[in-house]
Amino acid sequence: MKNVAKPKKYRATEDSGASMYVAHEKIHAREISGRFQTLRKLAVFVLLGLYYFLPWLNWNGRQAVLFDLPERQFHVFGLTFWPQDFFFLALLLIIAALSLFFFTALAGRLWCGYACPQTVWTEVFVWMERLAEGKRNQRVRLDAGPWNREKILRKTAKHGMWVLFALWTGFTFVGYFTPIETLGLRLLDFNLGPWEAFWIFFYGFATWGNAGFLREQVCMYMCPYARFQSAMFDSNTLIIAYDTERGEPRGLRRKAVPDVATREKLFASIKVEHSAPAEAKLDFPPPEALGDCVDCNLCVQVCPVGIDIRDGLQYECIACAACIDACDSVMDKMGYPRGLIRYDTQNGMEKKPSRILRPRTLIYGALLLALMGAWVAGVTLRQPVAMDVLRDRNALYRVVNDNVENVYTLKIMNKGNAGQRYRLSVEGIDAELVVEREAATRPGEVLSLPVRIQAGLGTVAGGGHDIAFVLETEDGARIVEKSRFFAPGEMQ
Amino acid sequence: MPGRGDPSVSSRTLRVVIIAWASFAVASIATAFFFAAFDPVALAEAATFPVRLGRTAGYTLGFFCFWLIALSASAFSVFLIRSMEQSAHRPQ
Repeated sequence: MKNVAKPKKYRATEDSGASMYVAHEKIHAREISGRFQTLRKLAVFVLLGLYYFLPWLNWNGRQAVLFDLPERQFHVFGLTFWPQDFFFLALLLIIAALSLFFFTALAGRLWCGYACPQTVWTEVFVWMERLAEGKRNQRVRLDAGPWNREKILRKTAKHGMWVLFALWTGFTFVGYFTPIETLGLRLLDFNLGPWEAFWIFFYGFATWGNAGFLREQVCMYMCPYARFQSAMFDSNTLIIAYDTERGEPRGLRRKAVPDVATREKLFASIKVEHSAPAEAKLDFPPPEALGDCVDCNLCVQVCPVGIDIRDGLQYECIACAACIDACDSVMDKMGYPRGLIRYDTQNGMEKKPSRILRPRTLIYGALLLALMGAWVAGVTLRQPVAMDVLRDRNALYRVVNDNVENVYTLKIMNKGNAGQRYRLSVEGIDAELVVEREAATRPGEVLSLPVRIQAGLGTVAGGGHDIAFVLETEDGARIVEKSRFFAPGEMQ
Repeated sequence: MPGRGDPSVSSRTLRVVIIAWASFAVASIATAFFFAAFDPVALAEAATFPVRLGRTAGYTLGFFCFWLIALSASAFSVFLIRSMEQSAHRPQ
């Protein structure tokens, strides 16, 4: 393969020791439009629209999505989660990880190209940069030029937009954890709590740094997914690939030269008709002498991570498909068929059939469905109340006024949205349940309720008895928790 | 496959950033698990010295404690690995 001139991304200079210190040079990606870039813009609008809009949405008179950390309760539309429901959050994270595996096996780094917050926010920051500093060539010139009035104005405008947008992002972030409407009012009053202000700046700063400056370096040096995603790839995974066979040998040509496939047909037909070499009759280079890549380098210029896709699949590639759109636009201009750079599988590139249904996708898919089913079932079947029974640790029993008595502590958790009163009883023994206080809870409360079971001496046999506490709510929920009752008997 | 322009891990800035970032990620997860189980207000009440702490302040403090712990472990590991590699490369 011919060596291609590509923009130098890194400048290697000598460190004090023998090691290499690599300074980063900013990548100015050229703007490109096309099918996939339209899709990506759509993804940016949908995802960021959701992010900035969701906290302002109300549901039954309360912020629809509120991870209310000060109150220790999460509201997601009609559902309320308490710290006891942490299991569901953990399960949700596992589901999210598994869907990442599933979609990666299916279609490669879809996540990176379209949905990752790093990509999405970088898109917006690059858009602002373009707004303030112009197109790629203008930006390169501006960066290289002296600090004159124009440069100062343009840079100030860019950073002004970045900082405002980053602060708004930070504010929205905190608005997921503390009610955003009152947060907004307190912001207007300059009356934010110190920690709220801190987190707004912290998240704003992270957004500003990651999307404004670090950009593709986050993907290359910080993202664990970029490192292990190749483990989920196989030869049936959709990747962005350059069709080497069709494209090489690359080179400039007159516009009138047809594509390889057309030239192959032309040359073949001439060879049949004449015995003379085809080149003499046709004014085109033969198909094996010139591939379809016109070597315009546009695919390199549009790449936000600064790689050359023609060198093959590289771990830096975030699958944003900018090179596909760039190449397609050139192919259109040349009158060549699209798809010299395209979404395809390794099998597809080697002209072998690709399979979507294969053990890897089936296993990931089945696991994903099972976990999602379990999550939905778990959340819908959630009891609004839970009870734990703790036996008194000090004594098995005590004898008080001809009664034998066992002491327990009931932990009653109200996981619903309304206050509750409970009826308690005991099963499995002929004894009296003495409840010290009223069994009632506020929403979200965990009530520690000391109770005693009293039985007349001699009315119960000595030794241990299996008993069960029964808790009934006013709306008909019934919870049974097993425990043990001990009485003095044969052993005495 | 190795990317071109791969930086050597000996770049100091990169080392610091990676240590800070990895420990940040771990601290975030640890904070979520820890405070799902324990209420910072209850913890402050159970402290052996008088502490007045709101929940938001408690979470923040907890997060930074976790970050500091993870940061120390992360930095210590890198220091040990680095010094091991350096002594291995030293000419005899």
